[in-house]
Amino acid sequence: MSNTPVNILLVDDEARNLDALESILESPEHRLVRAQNADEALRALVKDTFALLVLDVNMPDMSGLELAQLIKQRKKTRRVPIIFLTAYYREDEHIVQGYGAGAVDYLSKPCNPEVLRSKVAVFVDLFRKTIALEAEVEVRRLIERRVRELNELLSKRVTELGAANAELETFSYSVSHDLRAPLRQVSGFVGSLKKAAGDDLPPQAAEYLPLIQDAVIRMGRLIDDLLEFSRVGRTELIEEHVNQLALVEQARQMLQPGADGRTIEWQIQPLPEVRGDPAMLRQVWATLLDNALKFTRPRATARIEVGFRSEPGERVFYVRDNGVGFDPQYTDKLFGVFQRLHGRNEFEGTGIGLASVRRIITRHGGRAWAEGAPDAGATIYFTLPQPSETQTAPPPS
Amino acid sequence: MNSLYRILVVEDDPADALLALQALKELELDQETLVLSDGAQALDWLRARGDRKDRPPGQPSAILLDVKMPGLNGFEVLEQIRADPALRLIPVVMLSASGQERDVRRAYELGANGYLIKSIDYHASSASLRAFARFFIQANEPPPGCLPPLRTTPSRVLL
Repeated sequence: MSNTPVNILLVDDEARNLDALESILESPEHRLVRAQNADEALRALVKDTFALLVLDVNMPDMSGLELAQLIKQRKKTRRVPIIFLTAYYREDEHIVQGYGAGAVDYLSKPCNPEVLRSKVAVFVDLFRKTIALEAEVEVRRLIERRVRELNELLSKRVTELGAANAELETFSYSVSHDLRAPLRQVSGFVGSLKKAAGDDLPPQAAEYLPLIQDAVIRMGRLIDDLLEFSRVGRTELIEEHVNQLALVEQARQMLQPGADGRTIEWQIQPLPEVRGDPAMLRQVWATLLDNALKFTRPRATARIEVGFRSEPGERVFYVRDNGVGFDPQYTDKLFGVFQRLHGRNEFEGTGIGLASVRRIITRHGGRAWAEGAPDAGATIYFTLPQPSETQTAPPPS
Repeated sequence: MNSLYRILVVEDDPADALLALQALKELELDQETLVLSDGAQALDWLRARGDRKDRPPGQPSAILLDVKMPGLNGFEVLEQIRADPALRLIPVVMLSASGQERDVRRAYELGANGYLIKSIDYHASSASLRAFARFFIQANEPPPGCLPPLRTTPSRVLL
């Protein structure tokens, strides 16, 4: 920036005075433009941007002061500083001062080259700084405009998202109502058929009825689980302090009735408190423990371990079991919607539990994955971000 | 006091209506049940106006009211029933496929006396339907040995 010469306009009716000024002010930093009357001066000022005007007060056609007045009246040129050169220092002083501070200065003729150079240098410096500042202001203005545009876009997106969410809410409400109605009716009329036909049904046909009933109920569960899965993705996350150990205990008690009569060795490590949505995290633990109980069913003694380790940036939680395990090449399928790695006759379930777990954990900023081998148990891991410093700091007391 | 119908079922889905009738048949109530297929018809019938102005007098012991119906939905019909001094004391049981807490709460806030989730398992919901019907029919009968009920309009009865 400082390499670009700045424009200085020299105005004097006498060519030799201009020559003299030029020789004093000559410098690679200056581009000197000459004007021998007011007209030329004004034309030059319109054409270029000047850092400074060095102006002879006495000119034949128009006095320097009149020209200065014109310059100060025009919007484009109003801010160009002027150094007046006057032969009658004392007389003109008060007039010159009338133009106000800062942008106007004066020198008596014949001028001292050193004084002129240093005064010019001050204005050139001022000009450069002003230009730099203006450029900065412009950049800021552009940034601000961009930020404003982005904000507008964002709030538009939020509105759109809200509308889409509401639509989805209505959609899933309709799905839950309308997809279930025919199933309920199939189930109902199967019951009616049994009652109406009763013993008249051929035994073979009678056997079909409970199969129809089972299929209907399974379809119902699929619909419920799918809706649950979509709810998990949409409901607002309510972040609270969550006692993970309490959630594990709750899940264990809830699942206990299904495990009565089995030998189960529980190994539950202390777990830290985390920040997260309590209902969603409860669902995570319930799903993981339910799976562990389910897939250890063939074992004489089921061993289920719940643990935790702290790593940089994240906390890793896991549930390990000694159940039937899975083929590692299907690890990714494990977390897919309606993906099942076992026959329905072996292990019940719709295949949506781990998909919901992954969704919940992803929404909490964590990851979920599994390790296992056929017949050698499975470990399901999930992470939650480490609490930030401000959250771990003890409250001021 | 004697109405022609003990139960009014308001249900737009004919298959669901038929299943409700079958459930009530086990209590031999099917002959005493009137099925109407939308909210406006139900309100006309309850108020004995419009096409229904010549119906015999009397009100049912209970209304089984579907929530999701075209036109007036069940909640809107319920609101009108509760706002009408001549109807507001009739027991109303909402029938809905939704078990969401929000919907159940709304039903009771609007003055429902019961909320029946239409489960996929038909046996469960038909048993609930019968239980509700029986309860409200019995509740509206004077206990044995009582004086006959006062001939007063429902609006003057204090709860």
